[in-house]
Amino acid sequence: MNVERSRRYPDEPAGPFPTPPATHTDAEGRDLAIERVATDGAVHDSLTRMYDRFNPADRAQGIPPTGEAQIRDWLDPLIDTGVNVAVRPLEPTASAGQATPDASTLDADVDRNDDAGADRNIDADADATSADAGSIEYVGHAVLVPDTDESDALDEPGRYEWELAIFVLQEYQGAGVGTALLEHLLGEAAAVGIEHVWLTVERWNSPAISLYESTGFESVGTERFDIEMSIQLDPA
Amino acid sequence: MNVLLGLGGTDESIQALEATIDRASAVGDELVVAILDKADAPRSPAEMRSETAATLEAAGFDADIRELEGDPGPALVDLAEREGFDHVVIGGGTETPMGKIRLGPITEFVLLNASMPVTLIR
Repeated sequence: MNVERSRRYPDEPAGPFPTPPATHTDAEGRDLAIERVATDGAVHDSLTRMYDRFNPADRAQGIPPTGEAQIRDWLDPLIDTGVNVAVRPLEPTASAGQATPDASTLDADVDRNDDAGADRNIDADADATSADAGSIEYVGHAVLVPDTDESDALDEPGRYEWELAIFVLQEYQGAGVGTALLEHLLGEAAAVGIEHVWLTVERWNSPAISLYESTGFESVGTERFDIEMSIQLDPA
Repeated sequence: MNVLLGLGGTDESIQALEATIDRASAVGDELVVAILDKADAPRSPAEMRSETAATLEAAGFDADIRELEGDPGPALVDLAEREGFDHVVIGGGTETPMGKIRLGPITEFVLLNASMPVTLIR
């Protein structure tokens, strides 16, 4: 496709990448479900809660914003117009971050009590977005948004360049969750026909830069405070 | 105070101009507006000058307008140093589709090299 790109992309496509839904065991032995998410009240609510818990030190270039209303204003269009993949523990967990194991169990019980009598051992629910959605607690989210205001970008995804962002809650960082989430987002992207993905990352954020490089991103712009990186996919 | 505002011809420049006029009017600052020669800007220096003049007139605020040639960051900082301005104001920062803020090379140069306080409006 001879559409003019606004940035450089690697000559060779990267991949193949795995596609969601999938289960993944992280380096700490936690079993996680990785799934595509889309516009849905419970998804918006859960991701808003996740970003509300986000460590301010992990913000980058102004996102995520702080405050629930600001988070929703930022997040809702991303979920509505982008390609979104999120990760959640298979075991019920509570407000990830600070809780003791006891408090976690308690919170999980409270959250799940509308499903009284259901088997709380939900490890069969790898792709069960239908199950008790109100209690889903995402701990990571990765998203691609097109560089257009057209709402039908997914009808011709190869025409657009898609910007990537990925966020993982602090207590799930350093355990390979970001890598798994990123790979599954790129797998989903290729499956829906996306070819060109780019991102910006702050120069000093070497863990993130390493993650992107190991996944196949290359630096294409370094003249700013941030580094611009891109990857080419082999669409399905 | 003597305030020097640098404008690069982008939409953010117009926003920075309006905010700076408001502020200068409120506190009685003297303002000089420097039109920078930013190569890829959507407005030429001439267009930016006339738009600046119109905005100043509409606000009823008097300020000198100067066009600076050459590399925008160094030109602005050089003028600020040579003429002893108290404060430099620049507009800067664009948002990606994702909402990430990006600062450009002019902004970085001015922030790092100006010896007086710098206000970044975005």
